[in-house]
Amino acid sequence: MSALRSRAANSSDEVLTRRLERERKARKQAEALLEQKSRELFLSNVEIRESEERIRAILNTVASGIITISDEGMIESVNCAVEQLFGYFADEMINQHVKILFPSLYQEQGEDFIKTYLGSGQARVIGTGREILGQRKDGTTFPLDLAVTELHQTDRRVFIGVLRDLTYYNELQRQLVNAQKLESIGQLAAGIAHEINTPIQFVGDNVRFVSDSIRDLLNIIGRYRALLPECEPGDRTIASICKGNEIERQMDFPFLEEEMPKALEQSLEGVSRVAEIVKAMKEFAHPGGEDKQSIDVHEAIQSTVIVAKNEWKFVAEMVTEFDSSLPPVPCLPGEFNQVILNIIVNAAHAITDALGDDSGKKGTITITTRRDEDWAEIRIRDTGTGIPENARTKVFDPFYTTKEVGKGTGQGLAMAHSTIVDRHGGMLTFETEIGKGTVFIVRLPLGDEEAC
Amino acid sequence: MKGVVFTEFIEMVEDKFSPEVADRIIGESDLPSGGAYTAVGTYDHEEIIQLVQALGRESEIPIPELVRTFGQHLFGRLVATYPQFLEGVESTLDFLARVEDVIHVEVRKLYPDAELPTFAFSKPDGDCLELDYHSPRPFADLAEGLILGCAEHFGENIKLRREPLTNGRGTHVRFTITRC
Repeated sequence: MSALRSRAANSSDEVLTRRLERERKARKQAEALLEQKSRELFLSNVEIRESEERIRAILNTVASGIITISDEGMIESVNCAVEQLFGYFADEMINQHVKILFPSLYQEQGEDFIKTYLGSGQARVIGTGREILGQRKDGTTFPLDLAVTELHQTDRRVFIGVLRDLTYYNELQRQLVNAQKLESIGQLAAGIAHEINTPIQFVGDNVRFVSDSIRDLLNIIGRYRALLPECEPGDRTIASICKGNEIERQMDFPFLEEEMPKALEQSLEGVSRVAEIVKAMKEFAHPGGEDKQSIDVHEAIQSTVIVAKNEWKFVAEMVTEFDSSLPPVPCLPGEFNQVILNIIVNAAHAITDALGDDSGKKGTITITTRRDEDWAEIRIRDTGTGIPENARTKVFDPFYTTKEVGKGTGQGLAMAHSTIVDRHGGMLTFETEIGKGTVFIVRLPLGDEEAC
Repeated sequence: MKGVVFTEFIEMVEDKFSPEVADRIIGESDLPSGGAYTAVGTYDHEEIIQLVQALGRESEIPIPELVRTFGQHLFGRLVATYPQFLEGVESTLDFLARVEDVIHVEVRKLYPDAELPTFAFSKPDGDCLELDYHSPRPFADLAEGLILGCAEHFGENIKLRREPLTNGRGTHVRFTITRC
């Protein structure tokens, strides 16, 4: 019995010993694992720290300003470029409301654009980008492009703004627009010269005719005066009358009597045409300022139509249907005129291509305007070839052209898009159908507050 | 497979049978780890299959029943160890609907290398849940035990129907759980 008890005890001891051995081994495994995980954690921390430093260095080296904003509109972080752009130190901006940097955005909208977005989902700056005015610490303002994206974190949203100073870019663009305008004037000059030359020629002919006619009239008057001594006072003798009639017949007085007023009338009309062209030219070439001004777009379109007349008159009829209820539109007149010119010239080229060798026919360019709520809409429709499907996505790309060498630089529509969208907060789109034609649609906000 | 499954299995055998039985089944099995397990380690899942088979021979209880029982036991232990997994959960169906998107996400935070089965669920109505279990390993019995353990935890009566979706090897199974 005691031997059995002793064997059982031995067996139990052996079980415990094996269990202890397994537990010891398991503990060593756990310790090794703990050491391994500690090392991995350390290395991960080093990697995260290095990665953070690298990202910070990148953020601080990029030329664009990068700013993070809470959903309350408070500035959470800025990179070095933001400090340089606005003249604040980072500490002076962090935990301040973002409106210290973009007061104009808040003045324009009269409300918080982040709250608007969070409340309505309506993206005016968030998810898109637009040109706004930034305000430096010293109160001076400068144009900048602000694009805000939304970052969803586990328990909150953060907004990331990327800022680009547009001062230099805008100046370059202004110079480029001016250069393009001068280039357009140069290209249009021959046509304009022709438009002016035709009336000037017939005005000249008419003036010469009137000058000769006046000489004849003076001759008639001289010869009438010579007859006077032959007449008794109050006596018009048959002989005198006959002599007078003979003089008028010799001088072809009835012709002079009929043609001279016509010549003068035609000359006045010719002078008016020249004056109109000169006025249109002057309006088109006006350099304009950096600030938008409210203009009558109908007058501006009309001037451009006149200046470009020689480009379209051989291939198209020009039809204008203007909405008289359209109020003045805030815009940069010189740049707007250039956009309209580019589209009209393109329309004329498209019609020329559509007509081919059928030189007897003409297409139509129709320019309509209308007010669409808070927008002014200008549609320029042509009966040209339409834009091929493979070109539609590239129409507004710089340097993209389907025209033959020397006829297009691929800058016209790219510039037009940039001018309307970036400079005016508007839209430039098109609808096209092969064989039917294209309509370009320019939409401009009627007030700055509408474009935010 | 995570070590916690092995440590809990051995503890269950020690509690429900005896330390000697646990020692014997370890001895009878050909285990690369030698049966020395730590909850934070990772081991070949073949070892748990060997241990269960050895326990089946030792106890003469059918293996599926043993594995289901272990699943029930394991659920209780997991609840005790990780109470945060059940915060805000009020019923068996609620918990099972969260396994893939909440529980497994949390498990991966603790064990990034964990190889977890997937659970796709649909809810034909408020009292019924269809749960599709998919795993490279044949542990549908363990999943069934865990479901039963979950119902036990919430003190709910459920009807559990199980149908194989592919080969019947317990790697791809649909559980239909209906609240009674």
